[in-house]
Amino acid sequence: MRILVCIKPHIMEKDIGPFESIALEAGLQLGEEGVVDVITAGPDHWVDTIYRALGMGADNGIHILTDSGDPHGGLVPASVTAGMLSAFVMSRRPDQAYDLIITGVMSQDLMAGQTGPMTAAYLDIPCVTAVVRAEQTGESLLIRREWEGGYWETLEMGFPALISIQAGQYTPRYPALSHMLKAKDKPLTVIRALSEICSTNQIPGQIPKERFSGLRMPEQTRKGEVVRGTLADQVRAFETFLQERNLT
Amino acid sequence: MKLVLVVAETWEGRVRPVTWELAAAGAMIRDLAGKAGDRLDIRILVPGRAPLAAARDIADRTGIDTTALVWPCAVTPETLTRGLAKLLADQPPAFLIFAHTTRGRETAPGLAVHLGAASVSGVIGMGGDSDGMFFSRPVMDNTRVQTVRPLDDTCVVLTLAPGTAVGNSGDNQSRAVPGHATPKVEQITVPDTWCSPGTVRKELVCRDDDAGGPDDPGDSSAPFGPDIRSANIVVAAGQGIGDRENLDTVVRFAEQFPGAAVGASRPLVDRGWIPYPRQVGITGATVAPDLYIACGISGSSQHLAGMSGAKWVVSINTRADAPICGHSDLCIPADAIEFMDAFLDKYSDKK
Ligand SMILES: Cc1cc2nc3c(=O)[nH]c(=O)nc-3n(C[C@H](O)[C@H](O)[C@H](O)COP(=O)(O)OP(=O)(O)OC[C@H]3O[C@@H](n4cnc5c(N)ncnc54)[C@H](O)[C@@H]3O)c2cc1C
Ligand SMILES: Nc1ncnc2c1ncn2[C@@H]1O[C@H](COP(=O)(O)O)[C@@H](O)[C@H]1O
Repeated sequence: MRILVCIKPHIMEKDIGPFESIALEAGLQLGEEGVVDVITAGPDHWVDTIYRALGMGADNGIHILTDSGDPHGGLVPASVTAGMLSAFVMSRRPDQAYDLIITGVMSQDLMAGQTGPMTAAYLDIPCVTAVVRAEQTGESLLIRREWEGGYWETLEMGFPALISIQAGQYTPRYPALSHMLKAKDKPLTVIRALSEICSTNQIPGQIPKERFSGLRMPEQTRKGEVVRGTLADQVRAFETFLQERNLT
Repeated sequence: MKLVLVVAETWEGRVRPVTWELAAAGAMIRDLAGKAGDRLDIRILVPGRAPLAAARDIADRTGIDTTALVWPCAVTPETLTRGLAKLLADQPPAFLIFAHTTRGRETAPGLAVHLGAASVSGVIGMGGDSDGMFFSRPVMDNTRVQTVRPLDDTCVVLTLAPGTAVGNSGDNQSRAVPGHATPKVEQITVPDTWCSPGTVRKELVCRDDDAGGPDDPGDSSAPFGPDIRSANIVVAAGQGIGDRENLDTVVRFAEQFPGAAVGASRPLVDRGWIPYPRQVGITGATVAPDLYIACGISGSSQHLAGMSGAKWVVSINTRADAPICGHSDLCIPADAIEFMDAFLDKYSDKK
């Protein structure tokens, strides 16, 4: 099986994003006997994310270099990213085609959960999201996915397919030092312009139908009275708060 | 006339309550667009194997016209994406609204691709100004809110975060009944040829029992107090409590409050520290106690969806700038375990 795991960096730490590391763990377990590639579409410093993934055991890295103008690099309409990812997948030679594409259930920066389903739509392959467990059984994939209300649904699907992984049953492995040392020797393909892999007017989603027009701090829905001081002061303020509202 | 279409959220044929929030959001969009000069009509689509009764019920309760969409196969995100793409291809609506749930999250983006629409996910607020409509959604691990503006005259597919306020006021707008007195109900039968699922359901199990998930060794609910959905006080633990052993402190702290129950954020449940029925949030339980004490919880939109109905909220978090603080009445910047220990020490001193 040939698997492509789509990854993004963590926004605070030098690491893979939280849901993407879970997705990668799922990919590494599924692809033990096969090939696991990782791809990221982002600015040049995101290459560290690829090295980290190679250190965890991925076989090949692909970096689509982008320059979105966003200082963090990750707040890009999902259709743009999905279009680029699908263009890469379609550009593969038939003997290197992917059987399975894996994403996180959502990214930590954009938090949309759109890139996976959109990529599947562009590629016209089936897609299941919020998958907590996946296993290969012969020619098909047996997956457990989560619904609201505590329901787990077991589904069977064929290849090629796209799944997004939700947290729960995969704990990302730590990159082994020996792997990390080897990571820089593993194959890394850098795509500087999509025209290197396809004719760019065929790439869908590149003219987004929405525009991001600013960031602000979240609105407060409650007063958020902050209690400073020593622990003793804080405990006292807490008690007063409860007493005033008859909560004790 | 252009349409605001709301897709009712159903589960195994039953209407889920988030549908009322979707209807309210739909009415709000209609009104906002109306102020900007666009006259829009609103309609609720109710897909299902035999959806007529549900469609009538929704029309009665909301006063909004409904369409029962008789679905030729199981209503899954996959068949919904294809079916709605075909149904709406000729005349895409101005707005198409789903719940930000597994079904909506999986259906909306693919449908937006097929309809050439803008796609806005996890909407927590909306508004309009001279530049048109805009939507708010959380980004950067919930520490920022992004404004998204659809281009003029495109169809907009959006998913609405359940339990979060529609609009920026913080009111629960879902209680408004937005429609008129005599809504119409129509029925459309979707052709079989639109259904060719690539996935097959093998099994559906519910893990909603007090013994926790299938990997849970047994009934570990005892120390955690009554059912969180009925408790008047919920003490909820998050990743900020650090180690599993610290749950003992949370339990002892909760015991100081008669009738209190211990709840948790999802990561603690995922790790098997506490059974699933204790999980608060969009994929867990919805609680509305008199007092909710969030210990080491950051305040993700998925968690807030389960507890925003609490009467009073206190949060204990080392960071005063954690998002939960803005959703708390009292915000205590402290190490949660040290704070609880200090409280417990004082309490036992008094005795
Ligand atoms: C589809 C989907 C569904 C989801 N459903 C749910 C759901 O139902 N419920 C849910 O909870 N989550 C859900 N999540 C996960 C959600 O996105 C967050 O990841 C999760 O809520 C974070 O949990 P947390 O607040 O405990 O952890 P974190 O976000 O890691 O926050 C930990 C907090 O603890 C603080 N902290 C650190 N140390 C200390 C200390 N010593 N003392 C006090 N505070 C400290 C930190 O400042 C931080 O704010 C869902 C996610 C997805 C994608
Ligand atoms: N720029 C990107 N490069 C590679 N994969 C991505 C990128 N953006 C999103 N993804 C994948 O899509 C998932 C969902 O992202 P999002 O739609 O941004 O919430 C992530 O968990 C990643 O697996």
